[in-house]
Amino acid sequence: MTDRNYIIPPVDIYEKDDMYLIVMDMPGVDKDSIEVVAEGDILKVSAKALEVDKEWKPISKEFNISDYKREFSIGNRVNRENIKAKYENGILKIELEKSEIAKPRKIEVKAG
Amino acid sequence: MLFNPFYEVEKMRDFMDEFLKEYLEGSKRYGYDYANIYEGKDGYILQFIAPGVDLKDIDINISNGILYVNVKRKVEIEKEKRLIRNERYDIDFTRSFKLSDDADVDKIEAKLMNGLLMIYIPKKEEVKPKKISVKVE
Repeated sequence: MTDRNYIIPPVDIYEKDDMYLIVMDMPGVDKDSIEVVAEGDILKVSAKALEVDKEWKPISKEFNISDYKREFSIGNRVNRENIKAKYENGILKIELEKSEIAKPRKIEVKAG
Repeated sequence: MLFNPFYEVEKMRDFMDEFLKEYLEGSKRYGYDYANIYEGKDGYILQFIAPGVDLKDIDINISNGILYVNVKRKVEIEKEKRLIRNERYDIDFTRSFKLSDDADVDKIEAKLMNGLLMIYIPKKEEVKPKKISVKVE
């Protein structure tokens, strides 16, 4: 098994008629390193970990903060022009507006 | 007429599989109660993973030379939206650490930085042995 050097962050995903909301736990990253990119059918999210200053020597380590990576297949359900991301207190929130094709449609049924 | 009563369920499952392109194999994972300890010239740092944790939900107590750390987080639920994938969960744990004699328990400080909890435990200023000069006659 290859040892990938990154963490897959846990996510919650919400849906509304007109949008999706992705909430990710991504503690310990540099805000400026966060990348949210829509590439083809895939939404790619990555971020780089913040290091503890070198003057602090680890004497016991139970976890490693390493870089984060996760990908979501968005197909044609998302409007690429309107993707918003916000990072606060270790949580990344991404708002995706649905494309017209993904919005629920009400079909008028005529009584005949 | 053909009718598949499970159509909606199957459609939803396919949609989820497609929506989440996952690479779980070989990835790194961590638990929320994991702690790292660092030592510096002037003190120690206890580091925890604490995304979305409020400073008021962190409890630090010292008794008999043991430091107790309690961290709580309730996952905020967006009520007006449907939750279609749920991997994040509430946090509630207590860890304890034996303090070394050089820890200055009166000056312990906790800080949240980008979802990491950092507890600073300064070292006591070295008590220099008193020098007593005795005049020798």
